[in-house]
Amino acid sequence: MTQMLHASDLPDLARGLGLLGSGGGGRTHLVEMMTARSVNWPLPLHDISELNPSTPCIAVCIAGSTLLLTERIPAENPFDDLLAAAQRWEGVSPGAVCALEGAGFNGLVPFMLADSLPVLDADLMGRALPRFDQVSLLADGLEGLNLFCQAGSQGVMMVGGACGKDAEHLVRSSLVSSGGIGPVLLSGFTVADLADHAITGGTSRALEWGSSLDPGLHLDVDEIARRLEGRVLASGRVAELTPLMGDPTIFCAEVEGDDGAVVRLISGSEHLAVVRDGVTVATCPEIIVALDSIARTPLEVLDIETNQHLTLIGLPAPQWWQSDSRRMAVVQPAAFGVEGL
Amino acid sequence: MNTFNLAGLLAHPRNGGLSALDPQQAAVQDPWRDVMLVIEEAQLPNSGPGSMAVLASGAPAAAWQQDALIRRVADRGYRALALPGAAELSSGTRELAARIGLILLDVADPVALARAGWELVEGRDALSLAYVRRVAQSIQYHAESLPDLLGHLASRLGHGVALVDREGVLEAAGSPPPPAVRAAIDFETWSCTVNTPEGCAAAVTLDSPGRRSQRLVIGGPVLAPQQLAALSVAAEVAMPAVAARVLIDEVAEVNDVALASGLLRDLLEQTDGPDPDLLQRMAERGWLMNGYHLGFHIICRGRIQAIQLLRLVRQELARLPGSFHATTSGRGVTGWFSFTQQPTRKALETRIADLHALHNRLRRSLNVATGVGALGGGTHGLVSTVESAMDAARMASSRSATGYFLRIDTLGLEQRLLSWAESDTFVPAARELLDPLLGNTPELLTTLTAYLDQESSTTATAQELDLHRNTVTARLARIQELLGLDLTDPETRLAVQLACRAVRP
Repeated sequence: MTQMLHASDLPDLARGLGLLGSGGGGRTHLVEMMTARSVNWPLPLHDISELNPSTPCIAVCIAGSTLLLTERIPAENPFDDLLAAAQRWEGVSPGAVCALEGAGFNGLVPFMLADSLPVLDADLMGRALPRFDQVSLLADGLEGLNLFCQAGSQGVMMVGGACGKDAEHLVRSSLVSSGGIGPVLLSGFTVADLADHAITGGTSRALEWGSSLDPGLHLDVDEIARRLEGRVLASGRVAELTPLMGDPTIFCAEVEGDDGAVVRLISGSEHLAVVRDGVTVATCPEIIVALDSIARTPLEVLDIETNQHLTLIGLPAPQWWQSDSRRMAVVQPAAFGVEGL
Repeated sequence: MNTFNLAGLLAHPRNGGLSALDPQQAAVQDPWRDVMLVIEEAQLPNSGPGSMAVLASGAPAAAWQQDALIRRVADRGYRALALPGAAELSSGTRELAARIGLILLDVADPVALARAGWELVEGRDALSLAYVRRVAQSIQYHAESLPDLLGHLASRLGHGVALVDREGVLEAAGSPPPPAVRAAIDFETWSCTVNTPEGCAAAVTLDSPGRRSQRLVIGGPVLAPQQLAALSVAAEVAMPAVAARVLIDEVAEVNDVALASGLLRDLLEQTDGPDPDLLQRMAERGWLMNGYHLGFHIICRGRIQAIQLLRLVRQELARLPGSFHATTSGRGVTGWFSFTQQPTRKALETRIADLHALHNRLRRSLNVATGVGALGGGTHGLVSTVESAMDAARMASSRSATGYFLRIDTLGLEQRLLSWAESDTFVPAARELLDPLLGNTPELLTTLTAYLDQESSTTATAQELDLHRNTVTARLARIQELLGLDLTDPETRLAVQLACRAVRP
C-alpha cells in the first residue's frame, strides 16, 4: 500500500532522520523548508515492490561539509544539471528516485525531485555514513554505476563504472573544488537492484520514530530508548574531549558515568563507538544517539562540549550491513581508522 | 608458596624504575604470587589471583585503547599492571583502573622489573646471591677508610649501610636507620632483622675487639621478608670486611699518632733547634715551622686513654676554621694552631676562647686540665709555646679557681719557675737533697727556708722566726753539717732554695 506523506509529516520525518544520523547527517531544518515549499503535498512514498523492477532508478544526496549548507544554500533545483548529464549518458530517463543517505537532511533530498519522479522508501546507507565507498551498491561492487557531481563553479563530473575508494577520492576532490558541498547523483541501477543491495523502509521507520518522540510528550530517556527499541548505553557528564593522535577528525569524549563508569564516546563525522569501563558496548554500524540529558534532543558530533550531560542510546544497526562480513568491513570502526575496539 | 608484595618490589634497588601512579597503592601489602612479562598484551595468559603483568610494549595512544587494555588485563585475573609510560595514561583510564581494582605502575625497564619480581617470588637464593656478589664487588674496590667502605657497600647494594650502637649512628652511608628501627634492633643476638612501619633493616654484630655492642645495619624503607632475609645474609658477609676495616683504621691511627708523638718529643728534646733530619720529618708531616704558633696542652686524669682524648680534640677542633696539629704526649694531648702571619690580638683571643670552650665541653665528662702557651714565631717559637703550654697545663691541674684552664701569658715568671720547681721530676730530687732535714727536725727546714728567703741574713731570719740570732747560727751550722753543702756557693744556694719551695708542706 502506498503511504502518503503530508507536509505536516515533515517535522516528525526530520526528527527520525536526525536519529538515524547517529550524530552526523547534518541539520535537517533548511532542506525541510525547501521541500515544504517546492513540492506539491501530499505525495506518495513507494515501497520498492510497487514499481516495475526494471525501472531505472537514481539516488541523490547533497554531499560535503554539512556545516557549509547554512552558508551556501543550494539552488532550488540543484539536480537539474546532473539529471541531464545522467540521461544523456544512460540514454534513458530515470523512473524513480531514492535517498543515497537515508539519514539527516539527505533523507529529505529525494523529495526535491518528487514532482517529477516517484520517491522510493529505500536508501543506500540505512544511517548516516561519511564516504561514497560506504554506499551499499558500491560496497557490494555492483557494476555499471555512474556517479555525477558538480565540477568546480560550472560543469558536471561523471565517474563512469564507479567503484568504492576511487569514487570516494574523485567525488571528494571534485566537491572540494566546488566549494566543499554540492549535489551528487548515482545512476546505472534499477529498482530490482535495490531489493538486494539497498536498505529499505528507512523513511517510514524515520517517520515512525519521529512521531513517537514528539517533544510535546516530554518523555524521559528510558522511555525514549524503549520507543526506539534501543538501549541506554551510559549517561554522564563529558569530562574531556581529546582528538585522536594522528587523525584530528576522530575525537574521544570522556564521559564520567553517573554510576562511576569510565565511558568513552568515539566520534568522527558520526558517533562511531561507545566504550564503557574498557568494554566496547556499541560500534558502527550500530546507530549511536547522544541525547542532551536535559533537553532530551539528539546532539550532533560537533555539538558535544565538556560538562554537558549526555545519555547515550544504542539503536540496532541496519540488518543489511550486518548480514555480510565484507559489508561490515566497510563500516566497522576500523574502516574509520579507529583501532583497538 | 612464595609471595611478594608491591611495597617490597618498590623497595627493590633494581626494579627498573618502578613507581606507583597512586601513592596510596604504594602501601599495598597484599601478597602477590607471580610476575608475567610479555611484549604485547595479547600474549598475556590468564592468571590466578594476585599476579602482576609487565607489558614491555607500553600503552596504546588512544584513550579507549588504554581503557580496553586495562580491562582485558584485569579480566585475565591480574592484580597489577606495570608498563612503560603508564604515567602518561589518560586520567579516565587511571580512574577505571582504580574502579576495577587494577594497580597501575610505571616502569622504565620492564625486563629489570620482571627480574626483580622473579628474585622476590622464586629466586630467594638468587636474591641473596645477588646481594652477596655485590658485597664482594664493593669490597674489591679500594676503600680509603671506613666511611669509604660503607659508601661502596651502600651504592652497590642500593640500601643504606650504617654502623650503630645503643646510643646512635656511628657511621652511615646512604640513609641512616631511623630511631624506631635502631630501637628495635636486638643487641643481644648475633644477628636480627627489623620490620617496622618506619623502615626495615638487617643487623649483624660487628665482631671486633672493643666494639662488642656495635651492629652493622643494612636497610631501607619497606622491604619484603625475602629481601630482609637476603640482606641479612649480605650483612653477615660484609661484616668481616667492615670489622677488618675498623681495625686497620684503628691501627693506622695509633701508628700515626705514635709517629707524631715521637716527632714532637724529638723536637722538644733538641734544645739547639731541630736538625735537618728532624726538619725533613716534620715537613713530611705537614708541620710548618714558619709563621706563628699557639701551643696548648690538655692533661687528662681520668680513665680515658690519650688517643681517645686526641680523637675527641681533633673532632672538635676540625669544626673550627684555621689549621692546627695535635698529637698525644704522655697522658695528655699537645697541639698548636699555626698562623702564616702574626695574628691580631683579636684573632688570638678567638682561638683561645675556642680552646676554652673545648676545655669546658671536655670537662663535662672528663677530668681534664688545659694550658695555653704564649704565641711564638718560627721553630724556636713552636718549641717555646708548646713547652709553656705544658707548664700552664701542669699548673692548671691544681687550680680549680680558674676552672683548670690557664694561659701562660697571664702568669708571672716566678710562678712559672715555681711551677717548674713543683714538677714531678724536680720534687723527688728536692726530697733527696733535703732528706737529712725531713726526718725529726722540721725546725731545721723552716730555718733554712727562712734564711735563704732573707738573703742569707741571720739577724733577719732570727726576727722572722722569733729566735735568738745565736740559735739561728747554731741551726745553720747543724744544717750545713747534715746536708754537707756549701751554702755560700750561689748556685748551691739557688738549688737549695728551690728545693725548699718544692718540699714545703
